[in-house]
Order: sequence, then structure tokens, then C-alpha cells
Amino acid sequence: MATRFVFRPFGAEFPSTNFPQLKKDAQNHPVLAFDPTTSETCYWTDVIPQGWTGTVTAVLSYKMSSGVSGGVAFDIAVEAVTSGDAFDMDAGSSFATVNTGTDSAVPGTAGYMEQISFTLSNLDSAAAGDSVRFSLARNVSNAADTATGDCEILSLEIRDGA
Amino acid sequence: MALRLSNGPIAYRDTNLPSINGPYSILAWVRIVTDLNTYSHFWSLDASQPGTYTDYDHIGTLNNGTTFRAESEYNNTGQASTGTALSVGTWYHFAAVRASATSYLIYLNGVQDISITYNVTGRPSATSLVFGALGPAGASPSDIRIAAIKVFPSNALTVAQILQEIPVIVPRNIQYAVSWYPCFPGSSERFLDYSGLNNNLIESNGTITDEDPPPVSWGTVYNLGKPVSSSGTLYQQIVSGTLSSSGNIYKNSSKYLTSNFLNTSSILNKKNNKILSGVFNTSSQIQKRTTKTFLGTFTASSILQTFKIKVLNLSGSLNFSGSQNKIISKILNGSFGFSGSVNRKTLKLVNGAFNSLGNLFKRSGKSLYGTYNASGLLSSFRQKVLILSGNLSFIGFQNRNVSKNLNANYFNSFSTVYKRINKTANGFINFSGSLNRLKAYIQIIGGTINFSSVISKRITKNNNGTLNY
Repeated sequence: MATRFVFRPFGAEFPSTNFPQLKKDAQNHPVLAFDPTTSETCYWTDVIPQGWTGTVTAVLSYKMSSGVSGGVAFDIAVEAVTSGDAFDMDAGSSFATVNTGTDSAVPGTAGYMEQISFTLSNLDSAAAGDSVRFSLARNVSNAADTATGDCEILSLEIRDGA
Repeated sequence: MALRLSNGPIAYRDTNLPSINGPYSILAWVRIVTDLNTYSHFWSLDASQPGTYTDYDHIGTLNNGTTFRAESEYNNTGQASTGTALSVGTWYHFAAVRASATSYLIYLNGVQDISITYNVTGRPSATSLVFGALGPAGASPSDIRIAAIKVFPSNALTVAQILQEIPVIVPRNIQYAVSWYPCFPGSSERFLDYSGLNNNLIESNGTITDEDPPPVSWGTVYNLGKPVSSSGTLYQQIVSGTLSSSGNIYKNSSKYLTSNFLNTSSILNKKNNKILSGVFNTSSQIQKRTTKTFLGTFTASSILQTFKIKVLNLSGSLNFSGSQNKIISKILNGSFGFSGSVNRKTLKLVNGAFNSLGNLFKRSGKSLYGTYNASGLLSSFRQKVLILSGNLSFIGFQNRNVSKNLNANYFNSFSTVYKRINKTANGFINFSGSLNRLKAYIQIIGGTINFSSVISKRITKNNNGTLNY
């Protein structure tokens, strides 16, 4: 297994509405703060590297700002565009079905870091050289998302099976 | 994050201010929270005397609370102009750019929305920059959020430069002096100038709070998108410099290696060197290696356990100081030296020196044009020397020796010779040890046969020279 991407808060891209807050915690860690009641989304754009292969895994590093009981649920979707695809990138998006990862029990203390690791089965047929976007959203409608505080994302790591 | 300036509180500074008569640029994201239904000011650069409002540049709204408006005054006279109707709750990017005393342009989301040309030449220097109201006294405040503030005190940005600045918090045009405010939440963060110029904002006329920001990225981070393997695998197709490894190399496929390859640890699995034209040194084990072409020096100082060298072309030195179990050399044009044990060796053609300080257990030499020295035990040594034009010397025990043609000094034995068959001897044959069972069929002798010890059996058929015993 090899790390292929490490996405961090300062590199996030935001839609015009319903996006997480880019902020720093009390120790100056940059975080993306996802609201517990409104589903918020952000993106990262990159290129699929050469040697991309095997099972792809997402690892979310997070901590709670408050609300240290219950769980959280996050959706990651992939949009991969290959050279020559008949897809107008100006006109819309083309994300594949979301991949959902959950943590049924957030850390019992605010500020404690945990990771959610889950397989990205739906990759929009991403292949080496593709222009790719990863979207990250807190799925507040998921039954597993019951934590009441902001979920602060520290990083999103993408690994493949190399 | 964003500052909430809620119809009263302001954030201002009164030092290191922009050149109010130009050039300067002030940029920020603004969102109207409440329509106050009156004149409101997003920000003002003021040169007025305290308590007056006579010399300033500002942007805000018309008295309806939502129509965008900008004004420039000198000595209580000036020009005001209106622009786009704004919506409550929507983020807009504003850029106010004064290029000169007669050019004051306001951009909305990167598009020029207002132009003021009133000549403000002679206006005194600015005394305050206020966000959220007109002047430090807080006149005509607004109820807004404001974020990603950038103040270029001495430069008028172009449209292209404004467009660069809009989507990011960190300034792009850092070739100019700029104070910039990310407005991170918290009392110790929200007014900080991140430029290092220490032009922090000051809170006044109430309490400023933190609210959600506009959709603006930080703007400088590179996402790690290159293959970084957690297992530390390194793939290199072409190496033109020195490749040094102080750790284990588990798998290595080198197609081309044109320089030094140094390994101080184990090469465990497999290495296929198709072409190696430099120096290959290893101070540790090499467990499997197949070398097709080797043009340099190959030095192994440790055990070669399953070592197979098929040296098709060797023009340099091949030196082994450890044990070698199997070596096959087809063509050897240089020195081929062994200082350890050699269990099996097949030499088809040797044109140089073949030196062994250790035991040679089995060797078949078809052609030997150089010096052939063995100082160790030759236990089952079969040497069929078909053509020998140099010296063939044995210092240890030799059990069997078959020479077909001998054109030089052939045979010096300082120890026991048990069996020897000489068909043709044209040089000297010297024996200084015991010949227990010497069967010498000497068919043609053109030289001298000397015996200095006991001769038990001798059959001489033809003797054309001197036979001394």
C-alpha cells in the first residue's frame, strides 16, 4: 500500500454554498470544520499518478471541537476526467457514486485525533494521468452521524494498493 | 473565517496607511447581513479632521441599504457614484483601486462597477482606514461580514491582478507591499496582519465576533500527488550518478547503470544487470546475480553462495576474495585471481594470468597462454593442457596430470608426483621428489631429463639427449 495523495485544509476548494470553515485551532493546526447539522462539502483537485493500482483507501484524520459522543459519517466521491473525454468541465460535474466511511464512536475528549479508514470502491474509473477531483462531505443525514459538534478534518490521505 | 461588523463595531488602523491620492488598492470579501435601509459603509480611507467628514474615499451602499455606492471627497466636495444592486446574504468581492488623483475604480467580483474621476489632488494624507463605518467615530455603520482583507498601500492593481487575488486568502501579488488579514477566529487572531508588517487592526465601538467565511481557499498548498510508498520501494530506470544504499535492497531491477553502484548491505533477492559499465562494489552478500555484460571491476568481499557468473566478455579484472563455488568463464582477457577456494571451474580460454592461492579442486583448461600457478591442493585436478607456451608450475600435491604438448619449461615438482603421462616433452622435466610409480612414456625427448632422487622403474625407448641419474 502506497500513499498517493495527502490533502490538507489549506489546499481545499469550496463551492459557493455549504462548505466547511477553513480555520486554525488553538494550537494553529489548520482544520476544516464540518457542521453537525448542515452537510458541507469541499474538494481537492489533482492528477492521478503513474503506477496507480489496486484497492484505493481513504484515511481521514479528524478531531471533534465539541460533542464527544456519537459518531460521524463522511462521503467521498471521485470525478476522473481522461484526455479526450466527451465531458464539458465548465458545464457541470461528473462525480461517481459516493463512498461512505463512518466512525461510530468519536473520541471521548475534544481535540483527540482519530482516523477513519475505508475503501473507495467507486473511483469513476480513475486511471493514471486523469485529471481528478475528490469531494469530501459530512453526511449529516447518515444514521451513523450523531455527534453534535463540529468535526474538524486535519487531512485526507489517499492510498492505493502499490 | 470572517469578521462580523454588526452595525456599530469597527476594525481600523491609523498607521502605515495607503497613499490616499494614489496609487493604492483595498480588496475584501463582503456580505451584507442586514439591510439597514440607509447609507452604510463597508470601508473608508479617511483624511478628514477629527469629527468631520470632508476628505475620504469610501465604498458602501446607497440609502436603500443595498445598492452599491462609492464616493470620493476633497475638502467636502467630491463625486459619488452607484453601481450594482446587492443581495443580502450573498458574498461579493470588492476591489477599490485608486491609480491617481483622478482615477478611482471600484470592481465587483473582478468587473469594474464604479468609476470616479473627481480630482483630489492636494488632499492631505490619510489618518485612518476603517472597516464597517465612515471614519473612526463609526458614522453610518454597516451590518456585514468581511473577510480576506488585503491592503496594497502603494500600488494600483490591474484587473488581471485583482482576478488573481479574488479566490485566495494569501496575496498573489507579493511583489508589492501588502498587509493581509485572514480573519481567523479568536481574539488573538481575527485582527492580525499576516504580512509581518505588524499593521494589525484595532477593534473599536463594540465587540467584533467571528462568523462563517466566504468560499475562499488559502491558496498556497501543493497536494502530495507523487508516488510515495510507505514501504520505501525505489524505482529507478536510469542512474547516471552514484547510487548508494546503506540499507537493504530487497529488489532491484537496473536496466542501465553507468556509474558507481555501492551497496554496504545485503542485496537479498534478485538483481538483473543487463548492462553494467561502472564499478560494482559490495561489502556484503550477493545471493543471486546474473551479469550479462560487465565492463568494469567486479569486487565481492563476501560469500557468493549461489553465484553464477557467465562472463562472456571480460576486459577488466575479476577478483574474488571469498569462497566461490562455481564460476564459468568463457573468455578471460585479463587477470582472473582467486584467493579463496574454487570448487569447480571451467576455463575454455585463458590468455592472462590465472593465479590461485587456495585449493583448485577441479579444473579443465583447454588452452593456457599465460602463467598457471596453484599453491594449494589439487585433489582431483585434471588438467588437459593441450597448448602450453608458458610456465606450468605446481607447488602442492598433483595427482594426475595429462599434458599433450609442452613447448616450454614444463614441469617443476617439489613434491610427490604419482602419475604423469608425457607424450611430448621438448623442454626440461625436473623431478626433485620421489617418483614412486613413474610411468614415463617419453616418445620424443629433445632436451634433458634430470633425476636427483630414487628412480624405481624406468623405461626408455629412445634417448637422443643426456640422461643423468
